[in-house]
Amino acid sequence: MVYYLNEIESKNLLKNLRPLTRKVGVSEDLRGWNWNRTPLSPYRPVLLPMYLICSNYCPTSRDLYLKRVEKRRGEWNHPLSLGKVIHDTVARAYTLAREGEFDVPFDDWYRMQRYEDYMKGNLPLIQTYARMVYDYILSQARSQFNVAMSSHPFSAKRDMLLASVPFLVEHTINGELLGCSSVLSIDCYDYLHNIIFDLKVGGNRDETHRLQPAGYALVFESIYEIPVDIGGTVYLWFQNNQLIARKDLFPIGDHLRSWWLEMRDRRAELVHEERDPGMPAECPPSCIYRSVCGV
Amino acid sequence: MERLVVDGWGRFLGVEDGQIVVKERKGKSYSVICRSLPSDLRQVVIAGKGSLSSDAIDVLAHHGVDLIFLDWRGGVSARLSPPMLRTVNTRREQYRCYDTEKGAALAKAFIRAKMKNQMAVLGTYAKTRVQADPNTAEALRVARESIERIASELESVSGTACDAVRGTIMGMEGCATGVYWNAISKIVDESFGFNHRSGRYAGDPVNALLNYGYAILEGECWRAVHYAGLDPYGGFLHVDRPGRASMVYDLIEEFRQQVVDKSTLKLLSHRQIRTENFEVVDGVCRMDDATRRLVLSELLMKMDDRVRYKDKLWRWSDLILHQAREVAKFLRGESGKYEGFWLRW
Repeated sequence: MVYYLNEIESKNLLKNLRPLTRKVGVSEDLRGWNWNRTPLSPYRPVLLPMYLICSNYCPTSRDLYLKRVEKRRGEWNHPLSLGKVIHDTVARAYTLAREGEFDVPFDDWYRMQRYEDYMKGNLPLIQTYARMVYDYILSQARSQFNVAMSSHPFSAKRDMLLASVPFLVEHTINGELLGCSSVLSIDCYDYLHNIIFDLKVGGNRDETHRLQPAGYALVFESIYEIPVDIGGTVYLWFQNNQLIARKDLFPIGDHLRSWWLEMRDRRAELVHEERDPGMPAECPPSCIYRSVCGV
Repeated sequence: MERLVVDGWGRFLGVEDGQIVVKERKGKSYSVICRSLPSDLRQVVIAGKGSLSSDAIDVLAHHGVDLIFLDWRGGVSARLSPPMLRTVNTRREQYRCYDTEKGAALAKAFIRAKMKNQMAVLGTYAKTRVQADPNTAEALRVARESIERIASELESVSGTACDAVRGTIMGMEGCATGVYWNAISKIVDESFGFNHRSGRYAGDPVNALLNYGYAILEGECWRAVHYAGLDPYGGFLHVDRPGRASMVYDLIEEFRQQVVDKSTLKLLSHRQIRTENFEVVDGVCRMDDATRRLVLSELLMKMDDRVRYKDKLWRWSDLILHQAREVAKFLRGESGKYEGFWLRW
């Protein structure tokens, strides 16, 4: 599955989400191409990466202060390492699939990444999980490609690859118009369904996870001037050595867009004023600045 | 057509062949200027000096159409509504909840929403001015932050009855509103002489406009409260007083900023209204007829305008009715929480 929609998700998209987005629509003022006008234009001249605008690691946003004001680096831990490796693996697998390379061995590529030089956590387990994801994606992409080729036997292979693996993964885009970093990397843009996906490693759903695709949709609209009305969060996690993938598909309407704008402005304000927001009541276990604050 | 406004002098509202007609006197005869099916109407607003037939009242009532009369301030001087069904249960709960945590929670929800909308308006205007007028933008932003602090203090207020929390909540509301209007006064042209909100007796054009706008909004909230089966006089935040529609005033708090303040400031910033459109009579600032019509049409258009809220597209008047119904559902125990309406921009 990962970025492919299963049967239920497809039905939900076609029967619920698409009609809903057509009916309700989005306020013109909240389309990314109006980046130069209120309320989209940033209040402060601060450029932030998307994850720092949308993340909710620290309840007081002290992680943002430490990163951008005190310029401190967080420490690698198991969740962070797992997340990074799985993101890399998904991107690698889809890149190969888009080139029609379905049989490239996993281990050669993994070795070259030299993750063990800087990462912390249960690295052998992380490698096992990454291989599961890699095999899963390539086998599914191959299957989709075979279906496409058998349906259109006279089509060019490249054309069928573009249609059967319609995902721009780690798509780089400039977010400066909307107060984001100049180099943003969208986990996935499904160009046939016009959906922006964000990948989360872990199974805990959270409303705030919808912010990231909303932010990317706004940036996407600011650059390409194409409306993006649907986003998705893909949750990948592992249970009893089994890969589990679930999706949350949602409309990127006025509520999410204005919420994202509020978050962007709040975070930019904090950095601009160089204001320490203070310690949280309790540090989240997975926070990379736990050794700095340690509450 | 959903709302029929009869504005001006010498107009007559009657019935012809089952249709509602508006006639205007020309010389010694009347000519029909508007004709509509009663089933297409939702509300009839009589804003000028005119007359109507008892047949028209009967037909409108039969079709569940709200009929309201506005005075020169925009206040609802009279209203005729069809009898309501299913109100006993709702009203019983409304009175009972006054002395419970539910009542206190409602009072808090109205003001929470109000503060969030104040923050949204200030934040939006700050961003609009950040390039052209950074000092004003900064004042607006600082005001927004102040209200945010007050709003976070509001969260710590708890009580088991309205009387236990009202004083604290109203104190906070007063602080936030003071900060809000002080900031708004910085973006209104000085020629209007707007320094503060003066309430009932407007001393300046901006207050006159706001009073008129709030009165029209009050009419809409009254309609919503009535159709939701609530008692307009049984409020939670506003204290009971003979003749005071406290429940209507409670509900109105959520909508003042997004509906009236923004529309009024838009008219002012587009220079559609000028100081010469006003005169002071017996110490009260009054607008001329043309301005009154302009404000009325702007706000009634706004009520029919659409707003996207909770992934739905609402007409403002339907949203107000929806919120009133949510209050009723909460009071009857059909929902566990009431969330006031607010937008982020």
